[in-house]
Amino acid sequence: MTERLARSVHPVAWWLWALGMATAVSRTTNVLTLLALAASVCVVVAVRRSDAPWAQGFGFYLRLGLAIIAIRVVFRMLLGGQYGATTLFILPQLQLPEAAAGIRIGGPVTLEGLLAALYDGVRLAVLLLCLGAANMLADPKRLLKSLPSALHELGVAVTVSLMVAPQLIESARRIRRARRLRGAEGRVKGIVGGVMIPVLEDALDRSLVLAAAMDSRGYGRSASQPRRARTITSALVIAGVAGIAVGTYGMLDGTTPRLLGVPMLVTGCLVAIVGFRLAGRRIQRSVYRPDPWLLPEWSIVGCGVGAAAAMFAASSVDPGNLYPSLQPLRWPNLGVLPALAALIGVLPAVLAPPSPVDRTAEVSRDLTTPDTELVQARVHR
Amino acid sequence: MIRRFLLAVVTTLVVTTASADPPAQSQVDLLDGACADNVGVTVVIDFQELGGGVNVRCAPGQVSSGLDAFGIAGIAWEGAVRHPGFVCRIAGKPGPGSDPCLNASPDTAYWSYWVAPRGGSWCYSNFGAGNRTPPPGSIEGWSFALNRSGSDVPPPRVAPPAAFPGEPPIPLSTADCGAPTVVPATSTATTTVPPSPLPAPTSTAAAVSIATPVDPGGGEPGAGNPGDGGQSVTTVRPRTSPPTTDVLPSTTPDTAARPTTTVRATTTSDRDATSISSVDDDVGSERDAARDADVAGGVNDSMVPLGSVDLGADGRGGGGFGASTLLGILLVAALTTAGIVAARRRRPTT
Repeated sequence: MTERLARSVHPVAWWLWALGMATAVSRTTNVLTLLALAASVCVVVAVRRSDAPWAQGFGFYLRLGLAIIAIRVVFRMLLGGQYGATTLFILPQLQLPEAAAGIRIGGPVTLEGLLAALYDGVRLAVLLLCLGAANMLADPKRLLKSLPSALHELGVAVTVSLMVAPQLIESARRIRRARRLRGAEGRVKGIVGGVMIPVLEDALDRSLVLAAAMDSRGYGRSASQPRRARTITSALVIAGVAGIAVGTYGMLDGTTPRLLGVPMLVTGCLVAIVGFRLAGRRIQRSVYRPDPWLLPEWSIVGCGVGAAAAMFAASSVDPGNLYPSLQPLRWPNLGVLPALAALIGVLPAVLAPPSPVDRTAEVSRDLTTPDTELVQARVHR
Repeated sequence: MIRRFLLAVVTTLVVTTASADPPAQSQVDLLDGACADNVGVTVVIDFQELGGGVNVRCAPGQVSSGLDAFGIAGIAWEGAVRHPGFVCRIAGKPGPGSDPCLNASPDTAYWSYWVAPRGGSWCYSNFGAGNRTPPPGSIEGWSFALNRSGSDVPPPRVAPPAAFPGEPPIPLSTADCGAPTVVPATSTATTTVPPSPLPAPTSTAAAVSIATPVDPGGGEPGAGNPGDGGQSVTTVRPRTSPPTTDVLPSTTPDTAARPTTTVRATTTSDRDATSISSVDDDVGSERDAARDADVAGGVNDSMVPLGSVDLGADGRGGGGFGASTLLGILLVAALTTAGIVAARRRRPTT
């Protein structure tokens, strides 16, 4: 096998793959399927993420996922909903008045109740992992650059909001490093003043810097447009995006009325496209060195779509396996189609070109980051 | 005019459905599975539109909750994954294709939970099956409600089995009932067939006979007697269960019909308002009388098919620790190992 040329993959391809995986995840509560999908996402991230600072925080998403599972399980243990025959242990129960019949605090904890919380928590955690993977793999700044000019106004807002999580993680890492340099790592005492405030301060500063940079480059400029056109454009865009959001929800959630699904999505898309066309007509922008969209991009997107399609097929072929029963208790089985979905989902680890080893990013980060300034500022204070 | 028209419609409905009846299924067969003592809890399952008819099983001995009764009676059931305690499937119905049983069933297709004392009438339980301890000898009803709402939710199509002679049934807790014991209008047609061979429960009943329902609106006398159907409306109404006594009319025939209208006014607040309006008032009183006849068990549905479902089978098979579970664990382990190895290999570069 010949060594392929390292290049960064189009960020939209990674996002579409991650959304496909998230769609697949949302169709099941089968723990085995969920864990298999999560593992394939992790493999792809481990193999194909870049060395840029925004791509370092996947462990944070893993820990956040574990925290979500733990919170769900603990709350389910404390707050009733404990049905099932298999009692594990009994917590002291709080007596509630008659008016609160049906609510129980404490009391017996059953295996069925715990597993229900676990299934639900794992699903949410894996969904989060998929979005985290997209954040780790796709360069948010290149994402903004690659958006068509029609999506300009929306794209700015979306990119800024997408940047928040990676930036927070990056800030936290830098500040942890600064604390370690000062020998204050293990201490719990100054955790609020020493970690949380600098992280938030840093995130705010960077947002302001980003906003200023975008402003100076002409982003969000609307002076050349008449007020009326601007109002119509933004109304269309907002209505379209709301329609897309409702339609997506309706399509993914199998219990909503049919009308809220595909028809709403199509209507929303049409309205949004009209809005974007109107908006894009007035914005002329050239792109410097646009990211190419080649065969690897197509195959990455295909993997995401394929994984989602396999799960959709599974829900019509073998629906019982996707939602393993808890009453009575059953072992979760990994069906053929869900296994296929996980294996399709892991393919980008091979199909995507290796990410460029970005030594300059690492070096420039060390030179420009305000770690040293921060340390000095803290010392002066 | 409207009254006459409605009357004609109802009469036609009654006549056509009565003549279209299949051979009558006697109640004796239907209730074969009921408990033979006053201790066990009888579970009645009506699959309604799901197909499978009415099935009756007995949970012998003490039962700690409505869900416990399933297990003791050997009935397979399944709860919703995210909302345990909601009964989602009974004997594998509805199938996983129509309801994944992830969330609690939608209110357009769910298992409604009914309770009754022996010889009493069905009432919609105020409690979930997991939160209620059925009194010994009482009856539990599960009836699938498809596209019904409020008080249109149908109780099981078979009346609770009669009380044992000389053994008064243990009454339900007063908190058990609250929602109306209403039979939907569509099923009044089925009540107008001749009474079943089983005698009406009369043991402790203070029977009330309504020969001719009095029209409270002062309309045409005898409006509640459409043709032949009027005969079967004449009914015996037992008054055995304490919760239902306060909604049933008092014993004097003169006022018999008037309380039924107040019953509808008070207990059907969530029912479609037009059905309570004065337009179909006299039809409504006929319907009420027919309803009482139905719930009293004196007149029974002849169209109810005998249960044909293997209640012990959940229709999903498997469930044990099988090869596919093992393969799944292996796949997860392999992918996780690959991920860890890849992450380790990268670490020196950062």
